[in-house]
Amino acid sequence: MSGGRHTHTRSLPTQGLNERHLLFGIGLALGRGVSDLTDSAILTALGRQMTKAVQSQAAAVSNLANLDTPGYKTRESFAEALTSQLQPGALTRSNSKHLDGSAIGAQAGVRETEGLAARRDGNNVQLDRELLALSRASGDFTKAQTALAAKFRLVRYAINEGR
Amino acid sequence: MSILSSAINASASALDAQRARIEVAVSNIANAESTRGPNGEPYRRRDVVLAAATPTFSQSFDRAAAIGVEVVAIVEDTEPFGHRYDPSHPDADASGLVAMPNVDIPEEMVNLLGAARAYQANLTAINVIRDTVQRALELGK
Repeated sequence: MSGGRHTHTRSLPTQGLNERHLLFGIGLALGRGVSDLTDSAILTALGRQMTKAVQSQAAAVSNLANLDTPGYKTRESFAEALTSQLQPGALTRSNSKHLDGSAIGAQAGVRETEGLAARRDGNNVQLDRELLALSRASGDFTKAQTALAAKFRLVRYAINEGR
Repeated sequence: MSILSSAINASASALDAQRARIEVAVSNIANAESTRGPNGEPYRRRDVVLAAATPTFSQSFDRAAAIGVEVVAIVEDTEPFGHRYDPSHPDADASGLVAMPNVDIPEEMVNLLGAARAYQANLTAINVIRDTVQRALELGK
């Protein structure tokens, strides 16, 4: 009984906080201007992430298509190789002119993957590895697409004046 | 979109190539006992030669474009025929030996299974790419 009363008293201030939050958010949005609402930097980054995912998918598809081609070497998209090398930590910046790694994926190339055991016909494509890369890239794409869709919904919300 | 369509095309070319492999393996198995061909010789085992497709003019500008596969040739196996002793066979020579096709059934079965698996993998890839296109289109909703 006392537990129910407790939750009731606790829910009231939360509601008040929500309203205040909303008012604060609207004030902030008005103060910052509409250009900040779209966050063009975030949109660009998400778009780039989608491009990178598609490029990884294209590389995996090439490998799958050439599963039995003698002499074919596994390819991977260069951006993918670069980010896997950078994964342990973000780039340290000691100067504002240093690259922070946010531009990764803008330049895309394809290179041969190293360190895979080749079969006797010189082909080194591994079926499971490529299927894994394919679904991982698919997941990355969905991730970026969901975030981008949410961002667009926010903009549409503002355009429709909250209706 | 051009990368995605090149990916679909690459997978489709692989489906074509793997289907050719399956057809050749099936015809090898079907003719494992054919002792008389059009040229009077027993059936010679055939094999598909695959090669990574050379990129088209527009593809060569885009290094990220997917590379397909193509069947460059279907060649006959030059391995010598095996012989079986069967004097009553119409194709038997003076010493009673019949030249049999150089087809090895277990090898053909392995080829068949490998081609079927590769076909499946490429079908999966096409579905993944199609889902990606679908999700990209959802952004416009």
